[in-house]
Amino acid sequence: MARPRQISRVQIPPRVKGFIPVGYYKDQSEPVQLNIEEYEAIRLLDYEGLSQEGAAKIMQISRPTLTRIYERARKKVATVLTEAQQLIIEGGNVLFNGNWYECEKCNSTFNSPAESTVKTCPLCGSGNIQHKEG
Amino acid sequence: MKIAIPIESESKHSKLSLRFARSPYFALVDRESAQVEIIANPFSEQSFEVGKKLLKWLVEQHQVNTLLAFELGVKVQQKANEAKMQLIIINEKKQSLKQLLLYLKIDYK
Repeated sequence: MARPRQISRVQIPPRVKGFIPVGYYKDQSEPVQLNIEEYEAIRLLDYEGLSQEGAAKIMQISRPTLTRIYERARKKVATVLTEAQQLIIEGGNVLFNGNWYECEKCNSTFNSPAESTVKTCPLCGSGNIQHKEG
Repeated sequence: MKIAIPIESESKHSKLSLRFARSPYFALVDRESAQVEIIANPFSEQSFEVGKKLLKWLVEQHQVNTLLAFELGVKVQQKANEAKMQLIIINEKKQSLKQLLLYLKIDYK
């Protein structure tokens, strides 16, 4: 039986839900799904330049687990780039640091530091906000 | 609520700075009194532990409890989470301070 996957901590939810290729491409097959923990591994290791030990500590997972997540993530990104596939960022076994929301009016993303429920956007005051599941 | 916004210059037309901890200036916006104060970042040229020192200074000296930015570095995020600060991540890089103040409904002369 496969081992259950560890829950990864994610600091801030991804900015967008995915990417689409620019220009003509013939094969509009199923998009590649990049899990949120895979996105976070690429962000911490490649964008922030952290060591695998440092990134694993932030995500609260073991280093070998991070290595496996990162390898899966790179393979998916390579597939997207080479085969001109759409990329969807969703799913995975993650827990965000605190409650996060997205404002439908100003498109900002914000947290609730006191772990309480937020009813309006702290930037524009709109009540049209969505809770981000993680 | 007191918000720290990283900006490139002292003007109200200043663009948002994309380097939070090394931003040259911050606009401090007090939502209750609708006051805006622009301050220089004393740590912008330093080499080590800039995010940690900056957050301590913003919280203890200026009573900031909210950070507004396009992107926050890992260290700043960690320290802000520890301090239970509110984080607002905007989705447009090219915002000016004036545009952000309009969202906050603050008229800064």
